[in-house]
Amino acid sequence: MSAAAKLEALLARVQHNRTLPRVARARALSAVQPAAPSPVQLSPTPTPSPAPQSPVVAPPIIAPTSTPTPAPRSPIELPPAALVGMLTAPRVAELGADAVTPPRGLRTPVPPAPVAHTEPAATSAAHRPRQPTPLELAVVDEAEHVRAAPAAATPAAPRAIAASAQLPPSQPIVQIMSEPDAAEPATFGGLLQRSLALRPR
Amino acid sequence: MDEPRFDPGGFWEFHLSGGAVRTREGRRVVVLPENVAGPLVRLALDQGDQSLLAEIGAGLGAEAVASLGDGLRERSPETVLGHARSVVALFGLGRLSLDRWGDMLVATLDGAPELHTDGLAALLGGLFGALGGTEVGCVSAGGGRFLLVHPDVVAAVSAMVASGAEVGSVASQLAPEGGAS
Repeated sequence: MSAAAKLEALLARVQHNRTLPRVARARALSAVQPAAPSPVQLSPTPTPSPAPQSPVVAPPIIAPTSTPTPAPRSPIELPPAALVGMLTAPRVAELGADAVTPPRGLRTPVPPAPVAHTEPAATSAAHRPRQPTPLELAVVDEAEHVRAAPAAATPAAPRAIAASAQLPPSQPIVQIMSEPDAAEPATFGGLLQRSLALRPR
Repeated sequence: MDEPRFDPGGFWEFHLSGGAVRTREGRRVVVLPENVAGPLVRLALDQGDQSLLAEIGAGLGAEAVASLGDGLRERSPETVLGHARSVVALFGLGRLSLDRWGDMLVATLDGAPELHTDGLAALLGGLFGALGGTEVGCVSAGGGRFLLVHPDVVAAVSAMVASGAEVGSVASQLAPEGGAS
């Protein structure tokens, strides 16, 4: 090999060694770039609105702030759970705590009343303390009630007043409370079935 | 039996992005002003169609049934009424209560919107029909009271009420089937 040929081969080798790091760096960058998308791809309108060309600008209704108006973005997906809680909880709380469970996370000043007031069977009616009933399910004795015709003219018994205390004062109290007999159905289905079994005499 | 309590939390789901309101059971509802709902009910009743109101009531009952779970008929009356009343209140239809006159159940709806009483009767019939799992007739007795009777005797009970009979008088004229004297 001549000296010229050796020199040319040496120069070519040096040139090749200089280009290798550049190619490797370029490949490394190209591998990283897809993982970090540019903000332009995420925001539909990232470009700021152009400055007004006309010197006369109508006064805005809302006083402009020092910060520029943000460009519209993609629809905001509100967290459903937080949204529902925000919209429903305060209104539900206004229903009252007598018949419903207080919404989670809210404090109600009135404790919830008992759903059902069961009492010992041996307790006599006269000495039985009247518990507040939020549901106003008045059990009416059939015999007493049937004899009390017209019902509106019947003076209300003290227990009836206590049981109907939640009624408006203008509404006549005609229910006569009495002890349910032993055969009273204790279920909703039983009560409804009895009512549906009634026929004209 | 463990009596479940009604939980109003999350009953309404407001889907703002989709512009829809649904109950937690997935039923879509439309919020209407009272002065619009009233004429619509009147229009339906004038055309002799009470099925829409009954369907609304059945929907309310279905919500209560869903919150009560299985074995509804074996639940205590207080529990069933509590759930039903809560659902009715959440729909803004008034304060539901239940009395018993003899064997006859009488539903009372205080603070109801200005809908025709026949419409409210159809609504309550649908409601208690869904709760009881059977068809229930409902007759308005005035004063916000509605008598829950068998559909076969609705006409007879309505005639009693039309003749001026009070609730107690109507109850006295009814007897259990097979035991009428």
